[in-house]
Amino acid sequence: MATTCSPVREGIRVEAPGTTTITIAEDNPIFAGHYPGFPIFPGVGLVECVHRSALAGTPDHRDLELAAIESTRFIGPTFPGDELTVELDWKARDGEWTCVAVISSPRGEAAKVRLRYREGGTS
Amino acid sequence: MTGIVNPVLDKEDLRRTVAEVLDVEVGDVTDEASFVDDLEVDSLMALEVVVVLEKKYGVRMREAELKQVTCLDSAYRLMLEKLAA
Amino acid sequence: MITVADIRRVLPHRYPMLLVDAVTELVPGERITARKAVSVNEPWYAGLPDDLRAEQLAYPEVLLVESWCQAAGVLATWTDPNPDVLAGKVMLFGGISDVEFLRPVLPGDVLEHRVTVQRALPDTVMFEGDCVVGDEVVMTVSRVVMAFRPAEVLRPAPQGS
Repeated sequence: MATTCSPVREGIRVEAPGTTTITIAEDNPIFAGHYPGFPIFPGVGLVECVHRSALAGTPDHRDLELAAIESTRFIGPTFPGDELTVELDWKARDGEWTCVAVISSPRGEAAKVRLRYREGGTS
Repeated sequence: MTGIVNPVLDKEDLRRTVAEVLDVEVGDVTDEASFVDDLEVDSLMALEVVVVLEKKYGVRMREAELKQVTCLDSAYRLMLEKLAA
Repeated sequence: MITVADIRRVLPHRYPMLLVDAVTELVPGERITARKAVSVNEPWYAGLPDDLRAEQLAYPEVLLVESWCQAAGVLATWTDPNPDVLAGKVMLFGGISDVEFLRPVLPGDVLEHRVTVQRALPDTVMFEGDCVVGDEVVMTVSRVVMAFRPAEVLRPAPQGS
């Protein structure tokens, strides 16, 4: 069972299978400390957006848990108010699932993320 | 020197490692494909490839040598040199 | 003894995103051991439903990584701190490779991050290590790359450029 606790609580809109959008709120508490006077959305915030988008559409609605962050590439900065688009697809791999995603902001690609999930309750 | 066994430098093994680090298909990593220009990899990832190879084959490169590695062939030649040293 | 005041001197992060409470060991250029106490009093726990089970209150995995990376940041910048993100060089996340989450972390756990420098180059440092709670490994990190780039790279580029 995935945790409900998240630094990114903005709503995930499922636009189509494998495509979600999320608008980063100007008043997300992250920005007060990252960084004072210079709000910039942290790289791990982008990973969290992919994670929550993945959980919003797991294969056959499976109950999955995050097993690993396999790789991330941070490409461009993202800021308060940005509408982010997550394009993701799932691959089954020896009993676990990998989710490959590209997350973009209005200015282009922001990050590439590959996550791995295991069936819930087996950790 | 006895006892020191140089890991045989298998080019296909090198190709697989590079593909894994760059997150691309093994087939895309041809001998001459430039990491940055052809495989659209940023300079940071190209650097990561070399550091992973250093660790995997137990060699250490000087900074100038790091910059010489721009495609699989150049990585292979440098590794051979290092392993033979 | 390195105190939280020293941490704030080298890192630009502030509440609620300053996720390193203490440094227990630091060998400049080599390794660091740092701590972060996980509390249900952090902003991510605000406004949650009352009927959640323990695993639904586990600490967000991405914040375990952020906390670990900030410990790496203290190590990376200890000898040349620049906590001002508006000028000079700023520390950017280059990339993460193979971070494994072995067990959920709950409020009350104290994270002990163990970070070693894998390779240091003039503007780029690569780290590896793990995170334990008590004597149990909760997360392993194969590689995190941090790059030092001029602050201008963070400037929001003009819309649509």
